[in-house]
Amino acid sequence: MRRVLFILLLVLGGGALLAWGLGGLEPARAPVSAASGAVASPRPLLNGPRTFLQPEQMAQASAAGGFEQPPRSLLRVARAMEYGDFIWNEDGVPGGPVTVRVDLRSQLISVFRAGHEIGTAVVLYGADAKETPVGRFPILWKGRNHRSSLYDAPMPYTMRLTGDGVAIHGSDVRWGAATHGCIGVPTAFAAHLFDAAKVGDPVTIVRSSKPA
Amino acid sequence: MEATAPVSQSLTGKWKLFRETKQCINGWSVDGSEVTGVLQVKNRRLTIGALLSVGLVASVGAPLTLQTLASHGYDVPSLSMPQSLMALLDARSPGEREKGALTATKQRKLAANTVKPHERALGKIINPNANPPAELVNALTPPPATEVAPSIAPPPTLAEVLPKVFPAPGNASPPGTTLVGPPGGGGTPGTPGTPGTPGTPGTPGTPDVPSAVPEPATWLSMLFGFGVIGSAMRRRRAPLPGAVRLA
Repeated sequence: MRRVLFILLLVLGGGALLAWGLGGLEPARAPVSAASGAVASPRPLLNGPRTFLQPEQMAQASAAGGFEQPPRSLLRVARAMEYGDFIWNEDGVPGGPVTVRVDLRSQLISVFRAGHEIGTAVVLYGADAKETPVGRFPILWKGRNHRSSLYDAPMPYTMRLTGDGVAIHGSDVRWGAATHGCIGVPTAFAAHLFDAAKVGDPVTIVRSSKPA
Repeated sequence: MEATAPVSQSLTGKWKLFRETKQCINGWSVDGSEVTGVLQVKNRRLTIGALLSVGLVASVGAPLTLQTLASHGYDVPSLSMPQSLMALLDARSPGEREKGALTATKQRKLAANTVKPHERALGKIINPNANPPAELVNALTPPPATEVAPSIAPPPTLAEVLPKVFPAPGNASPPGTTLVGPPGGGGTPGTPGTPGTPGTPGTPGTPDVPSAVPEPATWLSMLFGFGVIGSAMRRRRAPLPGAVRLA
């Protein structure tokens, strides 16, 4: 009896010590394309792979708006992203329908595949005089090396949303910049999105209300 | 067989003892006597202590394990429950773009102010260099003398210093004698001065720092130079003999 208790104690104590010691070790993470803008950020952007949502959190998706289906998991972001930051991580995410949600208020884009978020970035949107339309827009056309005829400007990885030229395209995302109605994303992120999304995939642009 | 018999007997005896002990610990004796009361109390105390320690380990270890799992990217429900979906998304947002923020003037100033307030009227702060060059340190603070017993050893005498400069073994005075003055006051009177060690060089003094005021010789050479220049100019400007001098 005493011996059993002693061994039990030993095992539990060892387990606790192991857990404590593991906390100090740097976990080995899979290489993930997480990039920040020109300024190197002091803290890493990515904090672990993803957060799987609870049922009550999924239920909040309809109130939040812009989700084609309740999201199953979100990428874990360690800090507030800055202009030009993005994360793209599709490790272990199964294939499925790709949906894109753009929130103008929080200036964020989220790309979902089969309900799992595979990419997020800070976006630029239309200036006050050239507002970005809100709604659900399937991708009409894709152009890898597009050059705008209207503005005579390079718009790499263009995914057109409306007939009058509103699109998602790569641009220099920085503070103080805005678009003429398009959604500007970092060019490297646009390349990922261009490969993941196909014509017909829905893009929902919302302006969410501030959470209480 | 006979050789193994004692062993088996002793084994049997040990087993019997173990069985008895076990039965005693379990609360009853082989012959049903009451000798196990003390053992029972001890056993209970042990059990309570062990349970307490297990509880302690569990209460300390469980949060640690949860935290560790969470920090490794595992999803721990109790830690990720409270945040709502929109709060999760808003936590990564760079913030909202206010209406008219793009047309506002002095955007850089505004952007800087939104990050953090900062002081503008600070004077110029010159941080001293943490690692000044070694020459400067040596010049300002001479290296400490490395004598073993500076209070006991008398200062080096002229006789000790001279042979190094002018190696004349014949003229060298016997070590320990002083030509310049009496040995230091701290020196023990009985012992003669430490014998001069010609091999070790004398302690290097502080390096010569040039004075801010020039020496008289420097002044003289400079004035002499001015004189030379002046005379040369005068000679060059001097008219040739017989030439007409124009005013």
